Amino acid sequence: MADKQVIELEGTVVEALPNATFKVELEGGHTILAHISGKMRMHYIKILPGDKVSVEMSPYDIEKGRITYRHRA
Amino acid sequence: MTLTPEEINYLREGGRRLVLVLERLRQEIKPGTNLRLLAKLAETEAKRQGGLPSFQGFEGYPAPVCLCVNDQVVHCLPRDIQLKDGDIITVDMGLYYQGLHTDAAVTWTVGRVSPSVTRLLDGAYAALLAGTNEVRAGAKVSSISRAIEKTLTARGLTIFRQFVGHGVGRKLHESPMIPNFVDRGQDPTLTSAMAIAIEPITGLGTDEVITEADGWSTRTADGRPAAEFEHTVLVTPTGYEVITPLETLIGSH
Repeated sequence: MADKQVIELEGTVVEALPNATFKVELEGGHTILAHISGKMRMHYIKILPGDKVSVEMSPYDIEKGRITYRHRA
Repeated sequence: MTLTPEEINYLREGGRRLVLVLERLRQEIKPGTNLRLLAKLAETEAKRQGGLPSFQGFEGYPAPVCLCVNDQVVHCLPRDIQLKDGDIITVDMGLYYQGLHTDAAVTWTVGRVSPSVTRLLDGAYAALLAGTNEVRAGAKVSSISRAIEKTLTARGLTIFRQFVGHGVGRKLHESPMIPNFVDRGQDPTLTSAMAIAIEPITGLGTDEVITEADGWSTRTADGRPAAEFEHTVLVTPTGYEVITPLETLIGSH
């Protein structure tokens, strides 16, 4: 089973886009596009602009990420 | 992680047993086989060998084995579908035996496949051998990575950079990471009595990978096929010892 080379970052949702995609501003100001992880989709976790989220990114694509966790407000 | 001589003996025995499990699964690689049943068989056989499937419960992974079909890449949950003529299937499995993990994967063909798919499988296996050939105590991880990367790129095959090989043994995933490309970051040195899983994962099309709705399974964004060969090797002072030899598991293509 392959290991995953990922970077975990924190950010704030700026905008909800179609297809469960979100614009997320990372701590530090960089903005990326992030989709939500399958597990969150299955459990119907709602994400709204302003929410603090954890994002998983590959070190090889700094434009895209995957939201893995929504922190409680 | 350096293993003790006693642990190395259990690792060898676990590796041998994992290959036996995979040999049994290979008998079911034919049109009509349901993947859920294949996964159940994997679990039964692992227990029959006195072990447990390493993946079940690993970071929450819910199945005993990863079964990736055609354009699926890695970490694929067994689905309620049947194999059909012309498919390829990657069976990736780990066995936890006497306190040690071994890890191996093979891509098998179901019936007749296209020449490009044959080229994909040949390339993936050649990369596994080329990478393994670099293993010895004192060698850098990047020498393995370079051999794999050169083999794959020379054949025009894609490297999925986010999925990497890894140390294995007391835990399923240990350091060092073994990328299938030369990473500009840190470059650890291999030491004697360390076990590593080398796993070139490669495809015919884009390197962009999509995670499916189950949160685990991945597939290529363009739907082109992907393949993987993986074995566990033990680093020795002069070279390596293959702990999960794949020779008896391949050969039809």
